[in-house]
Amino acid sequence: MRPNAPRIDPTDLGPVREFRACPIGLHSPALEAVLNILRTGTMGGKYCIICLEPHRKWALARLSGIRGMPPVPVPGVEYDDLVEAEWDIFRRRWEAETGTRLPAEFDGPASPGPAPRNTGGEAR
Amino acid sequence: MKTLLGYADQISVTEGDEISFHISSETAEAYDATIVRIINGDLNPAGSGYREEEVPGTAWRVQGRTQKVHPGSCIMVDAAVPLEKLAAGWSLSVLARPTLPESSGADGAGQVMFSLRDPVSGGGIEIGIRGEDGAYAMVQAAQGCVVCAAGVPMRRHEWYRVRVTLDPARNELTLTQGALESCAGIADSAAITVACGIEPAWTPAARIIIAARATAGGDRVFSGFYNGKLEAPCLSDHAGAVIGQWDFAIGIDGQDICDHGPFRLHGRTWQMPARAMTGHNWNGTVRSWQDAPEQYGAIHFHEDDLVDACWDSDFAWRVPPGLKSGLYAARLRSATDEDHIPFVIRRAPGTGHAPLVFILPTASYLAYANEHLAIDAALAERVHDHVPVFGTSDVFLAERREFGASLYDRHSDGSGIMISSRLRPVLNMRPKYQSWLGGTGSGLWQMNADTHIIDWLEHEKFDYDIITDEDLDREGLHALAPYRCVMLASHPEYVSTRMLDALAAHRAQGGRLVSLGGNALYWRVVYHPAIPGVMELRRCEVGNGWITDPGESCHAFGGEYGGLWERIGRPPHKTLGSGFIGQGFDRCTYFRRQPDSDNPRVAFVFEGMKGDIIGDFGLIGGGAAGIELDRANSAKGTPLNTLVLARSEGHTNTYLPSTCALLINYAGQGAAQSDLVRAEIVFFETAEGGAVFSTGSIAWSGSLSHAGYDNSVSRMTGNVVRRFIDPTPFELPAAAARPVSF
Ligand SMILES: [Fe+2]
Repeated sequence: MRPNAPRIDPTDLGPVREFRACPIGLHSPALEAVLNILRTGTMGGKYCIICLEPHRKWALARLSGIRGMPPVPVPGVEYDDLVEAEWDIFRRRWEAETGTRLPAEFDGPASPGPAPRNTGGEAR
Repeated sequence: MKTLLGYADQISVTEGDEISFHISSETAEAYDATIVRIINGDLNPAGSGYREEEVPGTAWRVQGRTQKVHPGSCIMVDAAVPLEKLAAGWSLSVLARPTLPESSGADGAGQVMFSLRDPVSGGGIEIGIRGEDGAYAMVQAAQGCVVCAAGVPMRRHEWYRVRVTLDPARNELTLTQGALESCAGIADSAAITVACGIEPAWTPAARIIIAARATAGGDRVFSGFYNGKLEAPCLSDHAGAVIGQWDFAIGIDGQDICDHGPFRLHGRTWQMPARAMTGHNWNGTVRSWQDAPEQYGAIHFHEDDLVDACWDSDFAWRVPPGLKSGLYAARLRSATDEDHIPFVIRRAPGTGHAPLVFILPTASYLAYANEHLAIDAALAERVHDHVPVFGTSDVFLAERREFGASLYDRHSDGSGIMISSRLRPVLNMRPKYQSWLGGTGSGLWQMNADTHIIDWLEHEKFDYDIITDEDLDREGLHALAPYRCVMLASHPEYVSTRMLDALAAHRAQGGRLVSLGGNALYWRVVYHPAIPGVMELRRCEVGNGWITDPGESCHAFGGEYGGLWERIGRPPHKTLGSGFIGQGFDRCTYFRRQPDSDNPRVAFVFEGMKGDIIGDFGLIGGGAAGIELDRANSAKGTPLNTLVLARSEGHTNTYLPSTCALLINYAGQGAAQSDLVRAEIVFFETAEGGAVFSTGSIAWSGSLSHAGYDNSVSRMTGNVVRRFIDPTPFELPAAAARPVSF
């Protein structure tokens, strides 16, 4: 962590709930800020996903950051749903970044609300 | 696991042509080969289903063998060197601008700038760089070797003059490393002399190799590749008489290397190092190597240059008569892997033609060939707002760098890759391939995404032919002239001057144009004039992934200035009515009809369509509007009679303006906060009785098959194609012209 880099407030779980409900799509400014922090960092060790069977099965892996060294699978972490993979990686990064475990409310399955839509800004 | 790899010698063939397939079976397994026609390459269970058709009578069992790729560029001098002239001593000088000076080469033995060695015994001389030692010279005798090294490292991207002299009379080997510009506090110039009582053990088989050394592995297998620029190597005898003096400023657009010396030691480049590179004397007053070739006397070599894998052919096939024009592939299946090697079959001359021709944008496939962006660069997750997913081929390429990368990637020394080729396995130019660039859902990109269009053309039973960018570049208007309507694919981003000329000439004869993609006709590329399937890109001005160095924006292939067509004066807006505005790769959205859509001129487009929303469904990101977006702009050349039929909305802040649309950066330009980044579906009639329709969205074709092909995107596209293949001229609108868009 660079000394002047922005930090995540571990007590603010609003963006986490928002991500859990809708990992890909329109985000609030608060969630955008969290994601931008979680996605910085060097390529070495960055999480990525390896497809094991198209549209059926994926595995968690980490980029090597070294030319010629392929992503290294994280043993034993597989997914049958890409949205769940997205959430799992978010959770791992958030907990590593803040040094805080997410509370039990995030252990269960997601209960997606209505997906936020951007309908503003179209009136001219 | 990826064990079958290969490429075809051609990308486009027709009845009677023979096409050969060059295969490596990594496990040396046998494999079955069959020619198939590719109809839909999408494996997504939510889609219309993967579809290929076997061509009868094309089943072969082939015993596989392993073939290797040897990347790395150099210059080979095939002529024998008059070694007797060097017996009393010699000196060698060269200008060098290293790009990986900290490296001692792949095998640690040095990055070779110049070598004259026996390929088997290694006897001879070699000059190069070894990391901390800086420049070195080595004399290899039968009984041992003597090395003289500067002892101080070179700085990256700085020019040096390296001079080496062997004086057998005094038993001295001398090396000087002189920085042309010094840096206070850094001592990187040196002159070193060591005792050298041995003689180079060369034989008449010794050959000069510039930027690499010969090996015993074969006369086209080298080692010790150098990274960086070299200029003006010169070999003299003990008295200073020239033996060889190579001038890289001559024949910049070719592969021949000229020797001004008396022994005609001319050379040839191997694996196309970058030519038309600024030399040590480039002074910033010229931008084109053609204006002052003497300032472009450098060649930039890379240890990972690759244009031709040079594999032997495993099997060949003569195209029989009667096959439908289309996208085909040699399907290979072994016990451990499957691969498809794609090519196009064109309609044979003299057998008539369809009213519609679909151009497969093979230049853009080459630009993205073996792309490593998400492996090498941090941008992937930022531009598509989710974690990149890698398939088997991506993981394979991440490890096996010898297959080369794309025109978005960089060489190992950090310089941009400017030359791409299909004479190597291109693993992302395949049916079934999924790409991180293809958004959520099917995740298709380029060739495989374009099979959505083929699938739709088949389902709708249109009579169409397929050609490739290479056909268009080679034949110009001739390739398009028979066809009333030309169809462009999901992402025809890279085009040559001859391709644009052909599209313009087709319009001038009253032709119609349907563009089903986004970020179309954007960058200039140049095909190699003599080697089909090799293409150059000088990514200047705005860059993407990398940018050309100052003074290096003109292609070596022919000299044309590179960059964005809108900066070259031929904006896509003129041809298509719209041009690139921005991109994002998360969710795709939909279009909303605009007031222009009620104009009677476009009543045919909306026949049978209900409601204002178009394409709020699809296999690419869940909607027809997304990935890369184009919109109208009369200031950039959108014709004034253009109608904006629909505009996309609902994009997230992942969608941001492209750098070409930005003159200054400021907050709030994300598409959820600004209505700048939108796709626009446009239509206009041409003065010659033709018309143009562009969707302005890469995701469009992913929506065609939705709900059994019965949907707004399919209907709209079908309405347009049916009208466009109808010979009835489009009538010119009276007083329709007014500025459009912002
Ligand atoms: Fe592109």
